[in-house]
Amino acid sequence: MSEYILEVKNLYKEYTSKKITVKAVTDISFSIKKGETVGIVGESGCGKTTLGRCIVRGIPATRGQVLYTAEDGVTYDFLSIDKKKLKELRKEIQMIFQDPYSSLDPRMTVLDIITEPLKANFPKMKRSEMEVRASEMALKVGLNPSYLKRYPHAFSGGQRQRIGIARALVLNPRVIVCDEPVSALDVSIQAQVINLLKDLQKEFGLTYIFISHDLSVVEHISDKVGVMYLGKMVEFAETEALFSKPLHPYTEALLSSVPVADPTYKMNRIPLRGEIPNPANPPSGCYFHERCSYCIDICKKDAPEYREIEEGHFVACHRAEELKLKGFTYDEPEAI
Amino acid sequence: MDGKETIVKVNNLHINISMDEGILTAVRGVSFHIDRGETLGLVGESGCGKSLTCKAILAINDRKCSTSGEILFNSDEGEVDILKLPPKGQEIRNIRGKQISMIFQEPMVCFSPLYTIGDQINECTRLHITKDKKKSREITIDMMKKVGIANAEKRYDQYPHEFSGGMLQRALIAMALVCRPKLLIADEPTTALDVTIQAQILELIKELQKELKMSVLFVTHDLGTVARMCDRVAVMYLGKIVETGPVEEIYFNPRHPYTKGLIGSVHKIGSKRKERLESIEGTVPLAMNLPPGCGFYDRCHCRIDGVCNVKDPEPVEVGPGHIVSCHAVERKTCEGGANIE
Amino acid sequence: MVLQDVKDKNKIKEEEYYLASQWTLMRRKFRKHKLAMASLWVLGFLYFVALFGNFLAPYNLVSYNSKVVNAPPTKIHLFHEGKYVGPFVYGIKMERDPVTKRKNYVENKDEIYKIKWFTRGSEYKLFGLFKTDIHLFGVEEGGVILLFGADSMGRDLFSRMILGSQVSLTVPFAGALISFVLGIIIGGIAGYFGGAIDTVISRVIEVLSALPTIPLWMALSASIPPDIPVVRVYLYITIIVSFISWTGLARIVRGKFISLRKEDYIMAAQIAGVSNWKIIIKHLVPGFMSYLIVSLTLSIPGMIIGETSMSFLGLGIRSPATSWGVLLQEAQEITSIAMHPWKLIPLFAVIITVLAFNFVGDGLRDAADPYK
Repeated sequence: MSEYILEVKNLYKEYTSKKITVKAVTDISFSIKKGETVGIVGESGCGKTTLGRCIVRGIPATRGQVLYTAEDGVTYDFLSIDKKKLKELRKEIQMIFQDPYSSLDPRMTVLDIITEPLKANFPKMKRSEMEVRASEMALKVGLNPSYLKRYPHAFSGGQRQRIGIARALVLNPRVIVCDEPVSALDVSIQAQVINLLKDLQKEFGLTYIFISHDLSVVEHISDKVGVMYLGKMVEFAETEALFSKPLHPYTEALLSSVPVADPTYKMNRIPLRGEIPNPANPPSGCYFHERCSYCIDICKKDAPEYREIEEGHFVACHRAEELKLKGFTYDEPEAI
Repeated sequence: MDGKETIVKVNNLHINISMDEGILTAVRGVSFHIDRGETLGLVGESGCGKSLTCKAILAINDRKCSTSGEILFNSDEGEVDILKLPPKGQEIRNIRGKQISMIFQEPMVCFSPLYTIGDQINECTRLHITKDKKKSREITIDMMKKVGIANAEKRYDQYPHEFSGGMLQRALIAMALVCRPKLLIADEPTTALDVTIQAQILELIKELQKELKMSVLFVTHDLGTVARMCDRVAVMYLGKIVETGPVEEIYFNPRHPYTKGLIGSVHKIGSKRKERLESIEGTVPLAMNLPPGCGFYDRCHCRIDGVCNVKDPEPVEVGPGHIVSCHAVERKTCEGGANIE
Repeated sequence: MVLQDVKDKNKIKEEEYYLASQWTLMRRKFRKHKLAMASLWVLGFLYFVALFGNFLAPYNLVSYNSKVVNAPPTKIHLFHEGKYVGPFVYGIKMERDPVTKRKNYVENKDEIYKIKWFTRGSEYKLFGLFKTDIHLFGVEEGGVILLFGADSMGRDLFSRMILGSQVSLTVPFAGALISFVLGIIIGGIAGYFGGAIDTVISRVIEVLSALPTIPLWMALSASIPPDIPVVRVYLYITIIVSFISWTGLARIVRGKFISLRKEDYIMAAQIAGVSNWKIIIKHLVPGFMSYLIVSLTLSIPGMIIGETSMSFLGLGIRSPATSWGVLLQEAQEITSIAMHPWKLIPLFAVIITVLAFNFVGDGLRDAADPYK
């Protein structure tokens, strides 16, 4: 049996319209062990949301594999299994969405929203059983079960996210892709939902793929982190390794741009020139070369290979071995 | 403060909005001041009333809002109460855009798609500085260069859709600062931008502030940005300011239970991971038909029955420049961290 | 005590709001639109009259009286020579003006015909089911009551208007039903499948919408053979009228399909394993239903005017069946209008009906998205 519950292998997603091809996701590979949380970070246009949706087969990937080791111990390529097997395995991989306002059908009661997956997968289940299960889920996510007959417009953003989480959990999944689940929420509500996700992970042994642009949240919740830029994975490592000893210049720039919630912290920002390029017209060679302070000739011509520099630490950079990049030291405030 | 000139002083600001269902008491007695050259952070979550407060300083609130209180502004013509000025009169228009400017969260919607960026920024120049076409264009292009728009002469004649999000925000800042205002109100200016662009914009604002000796009212809910940009911080909850103080005090010695909860709920990047984030239970109530007493009562773990749900707390000074409105703090019964779920 | 009551009342209102489905929210919002509510009552009244038309009209479609050709509306009197008699009409006498030689109708004060309630008159089938001959009101034998005057054949305009409303008010509905079904199916297919199918259907819709309607109707109705029974003509007219209007609805449905497909909750349903068919029925259809109903209501005036125009031009309903358009045919001549202005009354009926539908449609549109 595979040691990994999920392995993404060489995943591509391209959108072609008329004569323009946008490479939203290019050759992404990474692996997750059961019970882990892998954070995927990046700025706009990096393809992290598209990646998440390809993994759950919400949108069709152009090519690549998602090797999933199911409950029965067998490993399947989730992207190429037939409709019948898909229906069976789908229950085990679910998703939580970013926008609490468009992720719930405003015309259905909360009870119907949470029980819809049950109706689709267990048609023989009795209505009363479904209601019991929905109430269980509601309690687990911190919602009052007596509110189940209400419509989504009765709830705040944070509560709606909880409903979305309850819906994702109702089928007893093993892997959940969380697509920016807290970005649209207020800070204090974010903390509630993050704590909830962590508790649920502990209780049910869940594996998370946590997509976000907020590096503080990702650092808090993830065991491993992948950094994406313009559709490619530029770095992937264990959280502490990535944040303290980044090996890719983009990661370094990203880490030094994040404002730290500490007024005595002296920010020593690596100025990142320019803007994020247009994904429909990416630069030649290394996508990041135009903005990189460490750019040399080869960067302009050849795209760097994604390779393992240290154990479990992957980078796509020609100069990965020689650069000494700065990250966070895990001591209390001082200049980096 | 000695030697410090106060640019704006808000006294007991109340804003009520009449709606179908009743009266929304959005701002319930807000008071603060900003001195010359300093940055005051106005921190709060959705529904606390910070945007309405900002708009009140510029008198650009909707007609549905009824405002009372005082907003004393140290203008070129002496001290004026903005709320007493006729909302469509010459005096307030001489202040808006010229002495007090504002930048917003989404720069994309702040520009008309029908006119070039240069023309739109120039509108401000021509209105407040000079009507001379050639001169005003020069001044505008100068400002565009200053905010870091490369090829300013060429970009002057481009339309908003040809600019990226970060560039548009720079253009918006150019428009706000071209008249060298005394006060800049920044309402979540970087929330919609990517992290790396955000850093560029924040640095730009700080540079320009130093150069123009400008005061900034920085409104945000992002505690990282506040730490980076602000000298003093005012924390707002449900239409009231619950705590004001120097930025280090707020971060390292928060006294109000809400502030404590807020500080504790953010993971500070680059620090050791905590098992759980501190969070405040419950949600913000609707600011309609509010019961008497402190607005934070039903979410506060330090609450005192019979006191906190009866009487509004008064502001109390707990340190130099550090003011808190909380009964429990006044009575010294609140220590320890915020409520942990 | 009082505070608690207020709190409780607020809580109950809140709870109602939380439990309100889309339709309840729509209904509440609609009620606030005064003009729309008033128009709803007006429409209700008009349809009630149409429903009980044969009962309410004193005469039927074929009855005529050559002695009252082009007679003006009959005046109803209560007092005769100072005495209270009850509602009645005088007899009608035709006189020629000695100078202009024009025919004039004058009341014959010698003849008094009382108005009787629930009289027996011509036979008809109520609701098309029950045979009866009772009418709401009529006059004693020998008299005529022409509340809106008579036409050039001596037929009572009031009765003809009421009976005409049965056609004028129902053709649009039948047309609307056909448009509804066609619109959902064709628009749904275009929106759901997208791609080439969508392109083809969209172009067809555009071509059809660009066709000038009146010449088209003329051509289509001219192609109906004249010996077809009246009822079938009526059906064909309905089909023709709805032929164009389905395009508007199809566009709305297609647009809504496309925008709703992008919503996260659709993807959530797919990921949960819900079948495509179920997604369409449970999520997409309720999503656009409110917009569809609004569109439908606003398209009915067009259909009313369509049928009226066609009949006005002599292309639609023909005698002995009647509709408001047929009645307005008589108003084509200037002499007609100048000397017999009461023949324009059906025009006001059309205007009021069209306005009423427009206001109701407005109200529905304002209420249509309760989540905005």
